[in-house]
Amino acid sequence: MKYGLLLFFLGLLVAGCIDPFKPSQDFADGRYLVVSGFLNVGSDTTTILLSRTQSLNSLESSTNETGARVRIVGDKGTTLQLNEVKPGRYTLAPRNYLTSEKFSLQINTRDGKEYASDLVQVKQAPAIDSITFQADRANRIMRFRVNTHDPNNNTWFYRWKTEETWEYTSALYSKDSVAGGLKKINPRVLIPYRCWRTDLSSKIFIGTSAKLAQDRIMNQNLVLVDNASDKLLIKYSLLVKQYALSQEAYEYWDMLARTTETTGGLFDPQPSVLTGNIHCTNDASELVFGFFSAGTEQQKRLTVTPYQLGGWYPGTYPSCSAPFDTLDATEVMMTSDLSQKLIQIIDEPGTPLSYIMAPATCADCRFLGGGLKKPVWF
Amino acid sequence: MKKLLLLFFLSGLFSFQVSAQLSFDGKTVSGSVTGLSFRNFVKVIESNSDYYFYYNQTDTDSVFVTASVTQKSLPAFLNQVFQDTDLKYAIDAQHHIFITKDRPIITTLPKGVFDANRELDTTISYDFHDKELTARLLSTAESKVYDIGIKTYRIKPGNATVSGSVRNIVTGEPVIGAYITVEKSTAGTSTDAFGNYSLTLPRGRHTLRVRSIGMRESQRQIVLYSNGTLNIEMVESITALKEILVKSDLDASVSSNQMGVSKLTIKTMKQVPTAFGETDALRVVLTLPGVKSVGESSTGLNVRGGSTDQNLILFNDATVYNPSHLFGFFSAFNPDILKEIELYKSDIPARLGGRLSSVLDITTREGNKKKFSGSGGIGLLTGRLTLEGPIIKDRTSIMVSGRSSYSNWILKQVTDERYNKSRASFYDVNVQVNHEINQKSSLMIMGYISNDHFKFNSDTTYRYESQLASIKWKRIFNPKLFGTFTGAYTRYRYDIQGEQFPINAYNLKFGINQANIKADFSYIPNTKHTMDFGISSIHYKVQPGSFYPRGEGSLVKPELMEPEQGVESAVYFSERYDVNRALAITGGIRLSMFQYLGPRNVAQYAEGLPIDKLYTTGFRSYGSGNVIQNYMGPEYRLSLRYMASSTLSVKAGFNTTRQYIQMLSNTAAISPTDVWKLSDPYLKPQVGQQFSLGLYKNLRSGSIELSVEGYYKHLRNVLDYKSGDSLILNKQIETAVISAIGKAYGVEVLLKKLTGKLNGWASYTYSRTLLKASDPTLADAPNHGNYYPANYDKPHDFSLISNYRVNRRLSFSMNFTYSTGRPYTPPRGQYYMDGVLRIYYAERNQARIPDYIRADVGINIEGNHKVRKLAHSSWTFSVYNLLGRKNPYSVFFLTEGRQIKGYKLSIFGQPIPSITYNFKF
Repeated sequence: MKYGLLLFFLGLLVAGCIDPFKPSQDFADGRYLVVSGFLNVGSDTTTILLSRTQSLNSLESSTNETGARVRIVGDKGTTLQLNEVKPGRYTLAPRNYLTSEKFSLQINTRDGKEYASDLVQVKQAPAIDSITFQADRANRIMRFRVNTHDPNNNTWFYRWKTEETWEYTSALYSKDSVAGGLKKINPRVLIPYRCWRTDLSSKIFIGTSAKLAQDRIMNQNLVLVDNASDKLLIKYSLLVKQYALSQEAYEYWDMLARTTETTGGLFDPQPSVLTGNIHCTNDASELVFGFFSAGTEQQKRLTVTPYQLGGWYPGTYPSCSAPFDTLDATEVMMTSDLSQKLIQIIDEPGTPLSYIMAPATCADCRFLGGGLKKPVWF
Repeated sequence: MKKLLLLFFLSGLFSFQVSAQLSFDGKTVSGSVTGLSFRNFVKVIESNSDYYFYYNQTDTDSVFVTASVTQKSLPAFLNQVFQDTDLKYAIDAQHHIFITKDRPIITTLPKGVFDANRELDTTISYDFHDKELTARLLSTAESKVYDIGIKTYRIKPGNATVSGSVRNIVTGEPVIGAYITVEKSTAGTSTDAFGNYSLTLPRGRHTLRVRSIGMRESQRQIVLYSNGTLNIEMVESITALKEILVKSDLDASVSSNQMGVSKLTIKTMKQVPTAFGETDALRVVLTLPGVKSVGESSTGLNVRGGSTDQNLILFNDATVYNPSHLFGFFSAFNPDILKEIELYKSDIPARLGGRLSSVLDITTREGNKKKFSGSGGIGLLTGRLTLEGPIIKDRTSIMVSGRSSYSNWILKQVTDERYNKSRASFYDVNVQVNHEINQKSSLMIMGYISNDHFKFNSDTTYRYESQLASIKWKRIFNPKLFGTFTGAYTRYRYDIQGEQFPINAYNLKFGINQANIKADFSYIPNTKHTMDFGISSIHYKVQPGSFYPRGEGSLVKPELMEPEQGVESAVYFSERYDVNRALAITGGIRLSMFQYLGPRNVAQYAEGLPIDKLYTTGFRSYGSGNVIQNYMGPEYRLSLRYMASSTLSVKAGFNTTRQYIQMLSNTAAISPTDVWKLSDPYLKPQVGQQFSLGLYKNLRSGSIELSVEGYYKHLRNVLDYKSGDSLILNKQIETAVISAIGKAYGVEVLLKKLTGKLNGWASYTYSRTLLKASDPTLADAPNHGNYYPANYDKPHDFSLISNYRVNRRLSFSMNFTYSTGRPYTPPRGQYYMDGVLRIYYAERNQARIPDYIRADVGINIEGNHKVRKLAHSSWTFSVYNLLGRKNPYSVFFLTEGRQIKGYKLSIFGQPIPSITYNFKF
């Protein structure tokens, strides 16, 4: 709605525009603790990830905080220690919890600082009713939506995480590989033609029924699949995880979404420092990022193939626009399977063998981010 | 033409050949003659008598005597000769005959001429002008000498007062604020709200110069004998190219008592090129020093470091809450009916109040009382039409004007499905009746409605509506006391309809109603004192929001915010005292009161803890009309002017202001869902204090005016917002706001050239506006409770408005604007949360967007300037943002994959040409 308004002016009236902008000054500063994860009081493992903030556009993927002591402390005497299973990844096996107990996350880092979250109430997530989809033909987008309700009218605030998995192929099929060092052409053990890729949601999906008379969420938009992405071409599966939030947690995620996903528009609020419900007990002015909550997770999966999409044109088959190379037997041995893939051997009587080579990006689906292993449930 | 003249001349020569058969015996003329030249006729008379002629050859060379008379007396014969000419004669006792044009020479002195106390003998008309009073051409009126008071032969020593009214000769409208100055003297005055003036001068001969914006400058020569009246009629400068630019107070900037006041007339505004070709009053106001806005698409004004809700915008005395259409792309006022705009940014008169930063007083002109006329214009996106005329000639006029956009058809043409279901339209209509009850009282009734309707992406509809009405009765009780009684009503509301999905289709509404009454009086006991006093009261009723389901399938839970109401009242008194010619002092006090009234449930919070929803202990209920909270406080208005010389003055002022209603907005620009909120037990009234000092100098005999003004301002109880709290439908708004204090200071330099082919103004402002939380220990205090720049803090600001008049029909105008970019909150670092990269921001407003630079050009082509023709028309071509510079409105940062990318958004990314046709009949 907001961007519609913006686009309206930009596109129609005044030919305004959005251009890249680089601040003339760097505002980088210290590294602050970042906490993500929640206490899972259901049947799954609780995972808390600790990391540090980075300067803008740093190339590090994540700066894990290792060697910290992480505990869950309840207000009715529970104290549970988490174990660091990987650098920065602290887990706790599932167990039974008192749902009436309030919990806090407490962290001691190696640099001697202590952090603690506010006490949070356990929120039980209701089951997901359904995942649906609807085509937005004007924008060439397929919208996947979630529907849920809480018969006890007790949840009101929701958050979802999604995992999209889809099957796709490369444009060309390469059944043999050139092992240049061994001067041999071998049939492939794994043919890199068909891939499966899984993406986690990069957006914050939250919704509330607080303004409705019933605790019911209808047609809440989650993932939007653009036709150009070709995700729906063969088979597509969407896993939705649902969490119940407290009002404070909802406001935190809402604010985080607003400050990091939409700011700067004509009518968007000003960004501000947003930290969460975790504080440094040694130094109240130190920033700590993250919001600790406790609850259960509900999951539901929807898998669709193109014929289920009701006449929706799911995308285009991949094609290779790069030119092919035709090589002779000695030339082909000089190539590397990483850059060129053998797609055809021409063996005609009377002529020497020739090899048709295509760029690897056209004949190896892994270049498009997926893997060759089919998920067991797919 | 020349040939004709020559022929005429030759025929004169030939007629000289005709011989005289005319005789004169010293007393009577006899004989018969045809085509005798005047010169030969004179010879006939002179040769036969002691009569001697004094005449001008060129006056008489076309006079030929054709007569057949016997014994006709000389005077009778001369009467016959001059019968069809404009020549007159006079014969004195010595038989001198004086031939003059138009009027005869009086050859005797009146009786008692040397007795100063004797009244004039009027049996002989010594003043020929008396016969010409019917000639109303101003040039005549200007060259004429008016006798004021009872004529005496000699002028007595001492002072006398001339008073009267100044009116528009065409429409009969009083000319308000016309400056009347006396040549070769520093005396002067200006007309009041009825167009009346009064001026005390030494008796004797004076030349009065009368100047008013948009009127042709005029002068009157008077001989002041005793107290008397002189009514002056002025002609509107129709071609006006000379008078076009801001006459921001004319030379009054130097001599007037006030500082920080800017006056713009419609003719100035029409000159300034705009984005869509239509004259935009507010955009011109933005070029004045000390006035800024956060960005291009916002008509919200930030005056001397005030926020956008701290300006009182009055349209014929009715308060305006939404001064724009289409979120600021067009101003809400039809340029054809505007008369002038006055902006008070420091010395706010005591009669006005209720907002902290400024008063923008917009007045419309009166409809034509003499004849039916109309005007209008056609632009690319909008059209407008005004019709006006007398109901009772010279007494009552009506003016109806309307304006509408026609952008919908353009939207329908767009093939992109995202846009062609969009709708954007607006209109405004103004009806005004002016009635002159008698010479001493007049009445104005006005009604105004403005409506905006947009629909974007076919799922959300925005509607905005303003309704204004006002009635104003002006009355002169006696020449020293007059009063104005005003009643006004404002209704502003919006309605946002979301219907993306039937299940959550909604209607979100907000509304505010305001009714004002006030009585203002001016009492002028003598020329040294002017007193203003009055009372006013405003009743506010705010519907802070309702959220209702729309359609049967909607599950939206209806939510209705409790309405709130309050009464703001004020009494004021101010006096201007002209100590001497150099020093004038104005002092005023305005006592304002505000009562927040029930019915309402007011949340109570645990003592000693922050005001937060967490600490709500309950609600206290107040009955209808019960006073929930009382606020009262004095506002001081002091100013001083010292004329160091006739061209240099120094002024100083101290002002305090109070404000009891505020707009809640946590976005940078005015957003579609901003709400207004009255002061309540938690939101204290905003209080402002301003010290200002100014230096005014006229250069090159008043054609160039230079002024430098400095100010320091202190603000209390202004609002800032906690991050992320919703302001819409928030029943405990006090938990979402932070009370802040602010300081603002700056220097404004203005150089104006008012006359000549090239005119215009250049202004430079250096200013800062800083805010900090009133309670720095608060957890939500931005920037750890330290000062931070306000959103509209733009230290350097330069504007150049210029107009070059090639001739009366063609003029070019050019604007240039530079300002420092406004502050934004920069991103400081990044982190991963749930595997997704997020940014975190630095403290509030620590970086600036790139500077703003824009140039616009315009060409005005007027039709021919025959005053009497069916319709006058003009074309305006303009190019807005000629340089095509992509001035950022805003910058923002988005996470894209693993990168945080900065973007800047520009509203006008390229030159915007436009063309407008205007007409007037």
